[in-house]
Amino acid sequence: MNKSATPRSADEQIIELLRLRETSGMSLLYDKYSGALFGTIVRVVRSQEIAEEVLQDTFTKVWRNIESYDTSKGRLFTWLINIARNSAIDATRQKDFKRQNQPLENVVHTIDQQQNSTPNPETMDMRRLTEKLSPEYKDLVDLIYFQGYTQSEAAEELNIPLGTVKTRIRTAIIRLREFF
Amino acid sequence: MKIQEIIESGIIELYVMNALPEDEAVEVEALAIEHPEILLEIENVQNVLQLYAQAHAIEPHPGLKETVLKKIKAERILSPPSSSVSTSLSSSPPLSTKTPWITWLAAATSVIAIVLFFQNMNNKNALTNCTTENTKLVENQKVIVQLEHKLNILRSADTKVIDLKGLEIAPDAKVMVYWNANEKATLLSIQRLPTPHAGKQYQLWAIVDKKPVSAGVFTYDITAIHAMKEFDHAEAFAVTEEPVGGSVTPSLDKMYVLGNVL
Repeated sequence: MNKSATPRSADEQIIELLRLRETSGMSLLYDKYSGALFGTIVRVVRSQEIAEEVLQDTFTKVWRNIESYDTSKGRLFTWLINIARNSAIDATRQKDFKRQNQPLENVVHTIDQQQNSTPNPETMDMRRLTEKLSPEYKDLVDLIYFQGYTQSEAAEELNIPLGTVKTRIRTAIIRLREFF
Repeated sequence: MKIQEIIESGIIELYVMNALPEDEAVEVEALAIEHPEILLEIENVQNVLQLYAQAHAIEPHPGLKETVLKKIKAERILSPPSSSVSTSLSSSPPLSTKTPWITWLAAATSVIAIVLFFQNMNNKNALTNCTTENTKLVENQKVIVQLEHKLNILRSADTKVIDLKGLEIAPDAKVMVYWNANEKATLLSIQRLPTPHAGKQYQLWAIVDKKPVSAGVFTYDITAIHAMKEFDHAEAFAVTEEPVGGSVTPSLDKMYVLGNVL
């Protein structure tokens, strides 16, 4: 992290490589973001098999549409997670999609364990910190950010007014800022 | 609605999470172009949410990477490289620290040229989708106006160029501040700064009457000319690394660069 300044940020280098149609760009992108994107996709589709398909689909879309990424509208990750989330929601709308009845955290835990990957201590610390966020805030963030509910869908799901969705989401992000 | 009210309303958070209806999202984007505070808030929220998503990462099956790479290699044969415009922009030589004026001018001019180029492209393709394209043109226009304003500040004889030099913590670091008290403008460009630590962000401080006053946080974007808070009077400027969102008082042990106003 504390390496001295390179002429361009890692994201900018990745974007340039992708625009030049270099597969090395995709390799770097995958290494940097596949975990965070897969985590989001799993939370929407709740099935490892479908999540793997959606992840492939996400990276293919990124490869095809890198030209439409507009740096002025925000950082690379925000664009990526929007593509991943939308692809995952599309997958749940397929006719043969069967929603798992298990609670979300069980599914996430099971898939996480199966990967048998060495947990990154820094990431684990951060995750533990976010668990200090009280459920009324965490549930709302996860519903909207990970599962792609719109503000009105979230209001309906949690049975709270739209105004409360706005104020709660603001407070939630302020709390998260304190953690990170 | 006042800017601060918008920032505190929760709408920015929902925008970044892609949870707003289309018309409200377009409003936020228009506001972001007009008000740097809103743009900064969007960047801050994006940063926090990215860290949140990374904290909840699940590593996919190790073999999946090969599958993805194979897939796109198969596509690679079919699709040609993208236009040379974007590559010529990104492969332009690094900005010289000796002649920041000319190079910034050149960089900003080429940005305008590219914006105009895409604007022209848009015009050609707009027949089918006039409404959205029109919105884009207005946005581009706003970008150009902003860039022109920044250029005028850089050109002005009243603008003081303050060279912020690296301190012990990072002797090679270098930041330029362009401060114009008459035009009420403070611009900043990163020449060399280490990548900020996780959950941290750089913050500019003006030393006013020997006391540090925040000039705002800025993203680690070394190609941007960052618009910072305005000052009538300042003796020096300094940059510290602070938790994301900035601090009320500077962390003096995390001061990276400092420069006096001559």
